[in-house]
Amino acid sequence: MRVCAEPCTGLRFISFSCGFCRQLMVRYIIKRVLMIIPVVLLVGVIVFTIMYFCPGDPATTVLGTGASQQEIDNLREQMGLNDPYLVQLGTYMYNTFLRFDLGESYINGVSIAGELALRFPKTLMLAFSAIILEIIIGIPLGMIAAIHRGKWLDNLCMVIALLGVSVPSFWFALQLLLLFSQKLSLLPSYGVTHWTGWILPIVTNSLRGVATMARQARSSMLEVIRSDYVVTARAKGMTERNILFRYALPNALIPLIQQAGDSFGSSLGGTVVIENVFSIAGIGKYMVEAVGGRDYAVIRSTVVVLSIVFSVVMLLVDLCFAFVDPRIKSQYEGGGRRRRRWMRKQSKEVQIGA
Amino acid sequence: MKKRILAMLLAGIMAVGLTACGSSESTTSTDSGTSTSTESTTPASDGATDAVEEAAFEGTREVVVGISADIKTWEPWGAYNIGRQNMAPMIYQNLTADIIDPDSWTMTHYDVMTESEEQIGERTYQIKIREGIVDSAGNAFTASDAIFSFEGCRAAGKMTQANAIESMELVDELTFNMTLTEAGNTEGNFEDICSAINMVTQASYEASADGMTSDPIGTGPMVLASYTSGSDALLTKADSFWNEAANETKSTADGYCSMWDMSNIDQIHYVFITDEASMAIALENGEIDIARSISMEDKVLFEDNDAYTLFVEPEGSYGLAFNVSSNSPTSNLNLRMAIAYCIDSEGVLNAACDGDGEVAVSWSYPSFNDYQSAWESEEYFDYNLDTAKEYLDAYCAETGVAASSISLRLLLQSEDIAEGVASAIQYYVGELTGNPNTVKIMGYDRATTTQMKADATEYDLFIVNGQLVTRITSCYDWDSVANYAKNGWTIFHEEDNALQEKLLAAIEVETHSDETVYDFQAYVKDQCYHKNLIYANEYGAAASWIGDEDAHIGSKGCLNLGALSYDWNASGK
Repeated sequence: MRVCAEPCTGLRFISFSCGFCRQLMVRYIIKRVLMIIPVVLLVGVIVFTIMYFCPGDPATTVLGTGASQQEIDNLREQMGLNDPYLVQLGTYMYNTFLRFDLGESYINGVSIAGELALRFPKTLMLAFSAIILEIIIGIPLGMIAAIHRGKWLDNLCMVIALLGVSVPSFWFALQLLLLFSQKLSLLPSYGVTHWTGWILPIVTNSLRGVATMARQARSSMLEVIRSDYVVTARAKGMTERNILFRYALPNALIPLIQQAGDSFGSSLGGTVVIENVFSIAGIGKYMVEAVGGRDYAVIRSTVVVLSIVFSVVMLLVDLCFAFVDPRIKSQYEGGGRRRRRWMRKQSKEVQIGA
Repeated sequence: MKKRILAMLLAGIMAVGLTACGSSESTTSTDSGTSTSTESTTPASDGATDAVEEAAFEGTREVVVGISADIKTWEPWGAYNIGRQNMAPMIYQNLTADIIDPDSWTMTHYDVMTESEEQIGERTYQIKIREGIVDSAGNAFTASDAIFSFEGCRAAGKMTQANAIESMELVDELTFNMTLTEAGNTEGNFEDICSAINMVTQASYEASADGMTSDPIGTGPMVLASYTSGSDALLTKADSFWNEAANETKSTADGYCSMWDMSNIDQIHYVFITDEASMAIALENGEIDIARSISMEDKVLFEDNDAYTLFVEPEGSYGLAFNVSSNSPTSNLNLRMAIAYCIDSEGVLNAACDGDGEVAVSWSYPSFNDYQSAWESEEYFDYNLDTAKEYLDAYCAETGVAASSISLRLLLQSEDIAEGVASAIQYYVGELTGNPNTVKIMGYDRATTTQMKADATEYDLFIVNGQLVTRITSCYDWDSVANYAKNGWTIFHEEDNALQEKLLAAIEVETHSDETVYDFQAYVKDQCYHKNLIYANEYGAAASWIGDEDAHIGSKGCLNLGALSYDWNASGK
């Protein structure tokens, strides 16, 4: 095992071959994973409380307006809605976090876990594909704008980005449908049973993210391009391509990774418009229908699952920060005393081994 | 300067794009018309020609239907949604059915699974099941299965109709007696119970591992071949349908009902398309053959277009109910009268539905079983601003309140037509009082509205969106008027014994008659508790090779695929 004699430095990606760094990173990950637990529990309590005090009654939604109060009360009893707040909260927390039972929909009795298992992949597909397009298109667009700052190429890229941010997604979706589905008959107008059905929803979903990423990338690159080390590298005679990809881009990545993480998080629950227009059975639509019908069980379980997924994504984003920027990674190494203690221990082991 | 030019360019692109949205729709209809003329689409033909053409058609007769919601669960007694309304009847049958006759536009009763129903006591009915009914699994359906179905529905707790049954008693293999509760023994309720609750055999239900949630087995002509939640469902014909003979003879005496006549169809493919614009595009593309619902805006694409058949059906009534409790200014009869006369129903229809629909002349609808044509010739709060002002002046003199200081809260369930109606009411009342802010519109979702309308302190006016059910007395239940007997309140929040007496006389089986119904409606009108405003339409469309646009409405508002004609040779399948 290679021992780091010096703290990790340098402006390059580092693979954590250093045992000390790896150990600290594992501890950091474990700590962050453990922190997810109270966050998710708190989310569960908050969403339960909000739904508890929300006006409307799932029993009335199920039975309709012609039902008698007795019938409504009977169904509420069946659903456990007549119990006191703490009893309902305790039952919900026990079932969800100890038995891992997300329960069934109040409205139609379908297993929530089953529905989420069917719907989540579709929403994840939309979210991941949007991230990929943001990276593939948004970052280069921003880099081009930054490199050609003040010139027509910069203006063109930013106009495209501005359009992307300004255009409402539902309007864009309908325009795509009219053009590619109705006029040209190239792509289906609904559903994602065939792979071609994914094209229009993915393009629609990624539009705003690509535009935002382009703007952010331009801003970050402009900041980095003016840095001393880039000027030094240029003065040393390095090619622009090398400067861009070895020096400028890695240092500009931090806000872009954050942007990608935020974009993914908002995609998880925010694609309801796209899911509605393209008839995709995803999480967004599921949640909106549940809110309208006061299907408390679905709302609570879905929010908890989304919070877990989002927390994991944020953890991955933070880990990416450490991979990309050694300055952040060095923070994981902790203070000098811990490092010296660790190095003394390693030295002893080496001596004993010798 | 460059930035200014760029900004103008962007604004222009946006404006052109938005305009193109509308123009492309009109272009599309022209294109569709043009393309139709080059295709050889034949209109729906008569029965004899159908038989010859169908014999020549060799492909699978699959009709693809776009509907806006997924059924979610195939259990026989699940909560209502649009998907269940349209798909479940293909698999499950009911003892009876009530369907609008397309020629006379009246409700026609069909004994589907029953040979007869007879009232043998004050609240007791004897039902005789037809012989030879089997479900798609081959299990025979008998009277005990009917009892099992009703009890199963009650236990499921998601349909209130079964709660009106007090007891059931088996008489013989095919006969049973049903006794309704006192509260449940209202006019038409027995028929509603028989036509609403799906029938299954006990053997098939108990053999299902999940209560038929994913493996429905009914006595209907179709079976579930495949289902993807949120995506689509494929129904194919059962190996044998118990009433195939009646489908050939079309004899209602033998239990024929077009709802379950799948002679012209091999399979039905339902696809769930949640957006109405996408639904219209899918129909234009030929991805679907029938669009169950299209918006009023998209209707123009298919109206007067030979390439399509447009379905028009009554969607529901929209009326104005007054809160007459002491919590509200509308407890005063003069104010209610003033508001009723100041609202022009024709104007409301134009505002809410672009003039497409009908102005209501009573709290009823022509297709109802107990509709009375006398209402058509009676005055019904006809728009008269002078009369309205007289009533308003009387109110102001009585209460000392200035007209412009009146403040009213209008509660409604938010949806397009209701919001249009609300806006029109706000305008007309503002015109009357001289203050455009007299009416404050409060639109909420269904769950919140249902909760608020039970509270007399939450509103002064309420827009009642009534479904077009089978009879007037069902209206009262749906519109929460009959709630007084169940819950001690109605949408009027009145303490009016006369109203309740007249209501009970109208809805109870022993006292129901044209006179008692007329008497109740007349009282409501005299007291101005409710003014029915409009009947709105809803639309669907199909490819031109699917015809008989008037026959498409099935039992409980579902799409009656069996009643439509199909020119399969022209379908391109």
